[in-house]
Amino acid sequence: MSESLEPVDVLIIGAGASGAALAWSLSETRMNILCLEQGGHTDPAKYPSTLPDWERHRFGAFAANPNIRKMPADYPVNDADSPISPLMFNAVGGSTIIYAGHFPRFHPSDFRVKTLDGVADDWPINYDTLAPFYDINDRMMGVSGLAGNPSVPAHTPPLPPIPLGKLGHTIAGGFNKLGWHWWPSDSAILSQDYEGRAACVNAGPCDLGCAQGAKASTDVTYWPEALRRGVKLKPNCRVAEITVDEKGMADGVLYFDDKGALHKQKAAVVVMACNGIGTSRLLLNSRSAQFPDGLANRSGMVGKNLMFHPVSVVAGAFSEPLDSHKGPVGCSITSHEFYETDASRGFVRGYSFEVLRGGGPASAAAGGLSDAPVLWGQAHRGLFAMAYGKTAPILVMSEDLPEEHNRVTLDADLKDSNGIPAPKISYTQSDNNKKLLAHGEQRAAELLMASGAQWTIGASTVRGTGWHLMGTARMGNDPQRSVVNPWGRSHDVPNLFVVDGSLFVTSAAVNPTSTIQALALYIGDTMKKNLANLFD
Amino acid sequence: MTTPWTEQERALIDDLLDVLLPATADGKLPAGSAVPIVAFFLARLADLPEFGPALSTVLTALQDVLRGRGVAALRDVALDERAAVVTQVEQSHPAEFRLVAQNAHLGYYTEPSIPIRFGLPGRPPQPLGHEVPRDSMEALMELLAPVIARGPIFRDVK
Repeated sequence: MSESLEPVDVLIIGAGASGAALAWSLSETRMNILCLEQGGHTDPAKYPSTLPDWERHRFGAFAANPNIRKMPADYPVNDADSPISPLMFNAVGGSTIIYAGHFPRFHPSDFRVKTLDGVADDWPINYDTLAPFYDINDRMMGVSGLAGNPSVPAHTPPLPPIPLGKLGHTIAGGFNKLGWHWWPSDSAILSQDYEGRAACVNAGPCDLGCAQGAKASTDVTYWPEALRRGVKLKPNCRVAEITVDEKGMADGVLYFDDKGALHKQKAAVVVMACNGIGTSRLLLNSRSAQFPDGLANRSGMVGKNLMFHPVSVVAGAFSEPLDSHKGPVGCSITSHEFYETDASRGFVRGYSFEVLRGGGPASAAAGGLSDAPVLWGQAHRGLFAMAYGKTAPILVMSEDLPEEHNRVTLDADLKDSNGIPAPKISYTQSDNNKKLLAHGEQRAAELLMASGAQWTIGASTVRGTGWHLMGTARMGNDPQRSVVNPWGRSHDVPNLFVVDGSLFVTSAAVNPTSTIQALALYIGDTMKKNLANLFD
Repeated sequence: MTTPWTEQERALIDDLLDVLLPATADGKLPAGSAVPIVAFFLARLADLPEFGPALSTVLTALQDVLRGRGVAALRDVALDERAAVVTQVEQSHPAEFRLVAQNAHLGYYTEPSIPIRFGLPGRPPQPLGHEVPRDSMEALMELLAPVIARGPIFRDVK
C-alpha cells in the first residue's frame, strides 16, 4: 500500500450531483480539495444516442441498473429482497449522466411532515433554508421552466420552458378539462444556449447521456468550474474504507486505483457524496475498534429508512400520432394536484404526475419500464401498429415514508471487483404507499381519457424505477435518531460530512436531485461560515 | 457466420423469431428471421451472461414440446398452431422466455432499417435531434389561465 505524501484539507468521495456541487462551493476557499470517484470520465461523443443501435445500450452498457450494466466502475447490489431495483451510474457526473433532468423543488410542507400530517419526522431545516441554494443551483445547472407555478413558492428559472410538444399540449387539455393543476416542468435541460453550452435539440433519450451537453450533468456544469478553481479530481479510484485516528476522527481513506493497487489518502475533512446506498455501504464497511458497527453509526441508524419513490406508469393510446419521440423523455408537464395530504383519500401524503414522452421503438416493444410479460406474435404486431407514436405515458411518483426496516446492509457473500462487500437492500412497500399509488393510477387513467385517449394500460410499482435513493444517513438534531446534524456533519465523527440523498428525512414526491444539490450547497456554505470552528 | 449453436438450434432460433415477430400482412415489416437478430443475440451472449442460459432453456423447452407433438422442427407445425407451441414454452419458463422475447424485440427494432419502415428517421437521435415548435409565451399563458386562476395549492408552512 502506498501512502499519499500530501494530505488534503477536504476529501470528497463521489463526483456526482452532490459531490460536484460541494466541490464547487468549497473551491472559493484556499483549501486543498480532492475528489475521488470510482467511475471514469465519460466521452459524450460516444454516448449511445449518437449510435445507430442506440436503444440497445439501454439494456447493456448504459443500463441504469448496475446489476445489468456490470461495468468495471460498478458494484453489485443484492436487491432480491426488494420489489424495486436501485438504479445509479458511476462516473464523473454520477447518476446525472443518465437522469432525465426533471428538476422540481420540494414543497414547504415536505419539511414538516410530522407537524402537519403526524407521520415520519420533520426535517431540522425548512424550505426557506434551502431557497437561496435552489436558486444558485438553478443558475449553475441551467434550469428551464416557467415562473409562477402555483404548486411551489415563487421562483424564476433562468431559462424559458422546454417546448411541451404535441403530446404535452394534448395532455394539458385533459388537465384543464378536469380542472387539475399542471405546469411546464422545471428541467435541468437548456431551452436556449447558456454559459457556453448548446441548447437541447429534442433528441429524446436523455437517459443515455446527452452528447449535446444540453442536459445538466455535473461533468458539464459544476466540474469544469470547480477544476478551474483548483479542485483536484481523481477518477477510477474506489474508496474501500474511511479510516479513523485514535481520537475517533476521520483521518483519510483507503482506496483502490484502476489497477487494483491500494492507497492511503490522508485528509482533514472527509465528505461522503456516494448516493443513498453507496454512502451507507461505505460507512458500514468502515469498522474499527471505536466504531464496531460502522463509522458514524453509534445511533444504529446508518442504512435504515431507505426510501425510493415507488412509481406506477399509466399509458394512454390516442388515435392520432403525438410525435411522442420528440423532446426530452422525462420533461414536459408536471402536476401536483394530488401532492398535499387530503384525509378523504384514505392515505397520508401524496404524489406527483410527470407527463413523459414516448420512448424509442425497441424500448416500447421490449416492455419499457414494466417487468410485465413481453407481448409477441400477432398480439405484439397489432398493439404496436395501433399504439406506437400515439401513446402518452403518465408517471405517478409517490412519496415514500421512512421505515427503519427498509434498509441497506452489507451482503455476506456478494463483493465488488476489489473484494469490498456489496450492499444488500431489504425493502417492503407500505400499505399507505400502495393506496397512494392505486389512487394515482386511477387519476392518471382518468386524465388520459379526458385528454382523448382511446384506452389506457398501467403498470403498478414498476421494478426498474429505483432512481431515487434517500434516507439512509438522515439529518436531525437528535444523535439517537439521526446520523448527521442539520448541516450534514456526523454526530459521532465531527470531521465527517454527508451531502447526498442519504440526508433526507422524508422523500417528498418529486425527483430529488434539485434538493440534493441545494443541500450540498447549503452544507458547503455552512462549512465555509464555520471554518474556524468546524469541529466544535 | 460462426455461431455457438448447432444447425438444428440455429434453424429453431429462426423459426422462433418468425413466431415472435411475424411479417406484417401489409408487407411493411419483415419477419424476425429476415433481420440480423442472430448477430445481436451473439453480442448478447458476450455482454449479458444471463442471456445464453435463458436462450438454451427456451430452445430445450421448445424441442421438448415439439418432441411431444412428434415433430422435429417448429416449421413442421401447422402455421396457425405455432404460437400455441411457443405459448407452452412461455408458460413453463416465463422468466427465460421473457428475456429471449425482449432481446428479439431489441435486436429487431434496433436494426436501423426497421424504424424507417414506420416513419422514423433512419439515424441516431443525436446530433440532429428533432424539430419541436416552441410555445409562444402568450399561448402558454392562455393555456395555463385556469391553473393560475386557482392560486397557490401548496401548504405554506415554515
